[in-house]
Amino acid sequence: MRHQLLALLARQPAYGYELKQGLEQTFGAAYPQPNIGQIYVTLSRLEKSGLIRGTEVTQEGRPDKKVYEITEKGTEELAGWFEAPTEGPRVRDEFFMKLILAEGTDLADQLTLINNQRRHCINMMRGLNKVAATERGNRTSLLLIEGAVLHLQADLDWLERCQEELT
Amino acid sequence: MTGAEPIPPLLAADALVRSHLSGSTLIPAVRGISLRIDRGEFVAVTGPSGAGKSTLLHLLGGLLRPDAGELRLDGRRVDRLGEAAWARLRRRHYGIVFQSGNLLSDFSVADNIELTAVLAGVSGRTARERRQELLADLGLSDKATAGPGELSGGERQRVALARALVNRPQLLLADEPTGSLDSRSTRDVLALLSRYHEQGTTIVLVTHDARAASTADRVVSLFDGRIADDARVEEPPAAWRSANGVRDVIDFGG
Repeated sequence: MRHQLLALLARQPAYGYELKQGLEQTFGAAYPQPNIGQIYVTLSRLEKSGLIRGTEVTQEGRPDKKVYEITEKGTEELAGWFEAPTEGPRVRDEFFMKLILAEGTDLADQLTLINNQRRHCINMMRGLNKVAATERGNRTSLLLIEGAVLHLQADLDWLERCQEELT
Repeated sequence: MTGAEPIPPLLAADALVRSHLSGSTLIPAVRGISLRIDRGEFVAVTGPSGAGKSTLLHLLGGLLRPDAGELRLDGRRVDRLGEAAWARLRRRHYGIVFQSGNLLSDFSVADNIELTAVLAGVSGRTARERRQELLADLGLSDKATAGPGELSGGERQRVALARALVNRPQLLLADEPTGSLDSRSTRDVLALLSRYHEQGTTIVLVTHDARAASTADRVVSLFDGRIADDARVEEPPAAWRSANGVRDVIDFGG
């Protein structure tokens, strides 16, 4: 959740509960939402690592609250996250987060994200072709590789849909 | 000769534009595509349907003329040539295979392939040898005497590919050659394309199939009639070519 919060703070400083609302508004009901407790825990870790800075704001008759802003170190961390191709089986989750959160941060643009991810998928596919070539004759291995190939194909088709809808 | 003349690319498209008439409205299909394809390259063209992939391939093969823009083959301007001149060019330099896989319905598979070679001046004996080799590579040796009507869609597609390759063209243009193939036939076709590529054939492959695209060494992604991305396919590091490659894509839950 670190990068989601950083991305929201890259748009503008916010209170903890505003970040919760921001996530809800950005991702909608289809995405599992963190509870407010998880958000505050993550914020305090981010602050300890120097990626964000919190400032106490006094409120009359109520406990003080903290407004958070992203630091230069946080911006660097976030830019690195956007830039790296998204690895692993959770590609759809994390890549989707990057794609949606890029807007308004000035750190990444959606077409570049889609292009980079497509390149990454095609290079992975190239790798799978090589593995398949060495496993010729091993039916079990080839079936597994075919499963991976179909997953990648689905990811690529979905990237096209993202491009159609967002760019 | 100074030797300083740069070698022109095999194909150079400059700001190609082409629209199609649908009823009374012009639908732009290709909206300004510039592309250089060097000798020996293997380029895959991908993109969603309607992105202009097939139109681009037709333009590159002279089967459609651009509304605007220029096309050069071997440095020579060809976009304004007439049909007869284009037909000669294609016979001499191109192999073309389209989705429909057009075959001569009254001839056997073997004759379909051999006739294409004989008409281009290849001896009957060489034509037969090449035909036998291509059909073997494509897993179709037992279909030599069949008529096109007796073939499945995937088989017809592979025979069309054999026809396109029998004259060893400099340039192969292929539109979804793995479109209706099962996994095994796809593998055969891609292996064959790779082999021709290694022997120096320049290939432009329109495809929606990521496995086919990743066989190429360059992927051009079209979107809405324009080039959205143009990237080299990179060899993954040797260490990656293990089960890790699969693990990266599929979650085993372990």
